[in-house]
Amino acid sequence: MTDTQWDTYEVFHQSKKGDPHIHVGSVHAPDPDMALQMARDQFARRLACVSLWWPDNEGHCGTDYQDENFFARTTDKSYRDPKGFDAPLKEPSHG
Amino acid sequence: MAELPAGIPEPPLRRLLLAMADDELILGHRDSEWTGHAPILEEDIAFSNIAQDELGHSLIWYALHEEISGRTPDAMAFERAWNDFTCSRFVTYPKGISPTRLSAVPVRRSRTGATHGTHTEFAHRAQRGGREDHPEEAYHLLHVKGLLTRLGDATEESHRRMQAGVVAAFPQALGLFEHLEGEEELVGGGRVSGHGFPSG
Repeated sequence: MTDTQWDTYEVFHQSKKGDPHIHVGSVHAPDPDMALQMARDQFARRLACVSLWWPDNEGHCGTDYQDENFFARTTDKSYRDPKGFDAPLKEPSHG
Repeated sequence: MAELPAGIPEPPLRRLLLAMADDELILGHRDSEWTGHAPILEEDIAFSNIAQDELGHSLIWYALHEEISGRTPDAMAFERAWNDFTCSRFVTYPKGISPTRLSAVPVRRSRTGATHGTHTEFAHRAQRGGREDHPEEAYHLLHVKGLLTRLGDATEESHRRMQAGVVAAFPQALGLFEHLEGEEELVGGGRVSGHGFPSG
């Protein structure tokens, strides 16, 4: 029987230049190119991101800082940021 | 009301902005129908993400449209009859009509609305809208290219299905390039950039 399971790629995420790359999880993909796209959408969708690493068996894969558009968040995505709700300042009146 | 750049006729510009916004809105909704149907979780999230991006882009163009028409994005998105929408027919088809509808994501009315040699606030905002829309559309194009190529090349069966999809979708897709009423005045005069999405 053929194994249809795709390869697993571990993903390392960098929030801004100079910060360490931090392991954030893994993605399944048929090849390194698709792995990068999956990694972008899983792990750079909410958190600000300037670089991803997704090492494969052959060597190291990392994004290029020159390609800024790749991680661009051009429209307002604040609705994706995890945050709490504002508590009402006054107790609601009853009656 | 916005001060339009000199020489820009208002009705065609209003129609163009509305058509671009409607394309984005309807395509965003149609794309969201894929949520829960992708073969793997990663693609499910990726494609839902693209759907959300499209809704964000629709707001860019609806907001510019409001500058001219005075009608709010909410009013345009939620308070119109279905037959008042001016999107391309292609983006309205339900998912599953053809796998190649995926390719409609980046290829669509994608004119920047930018104008040459004009410096009104409106022109600047239109240019900014194009710049905000562009990087995300470039990524969408990259993503669907990856999918379409791999699905087309994977097996004999997948190739057959994708080819059938292309044959079915292609004539419909040409509707994306139909001119709107009065659009020649905008495009022909070099007022607004022409059809098609810049390669990316």
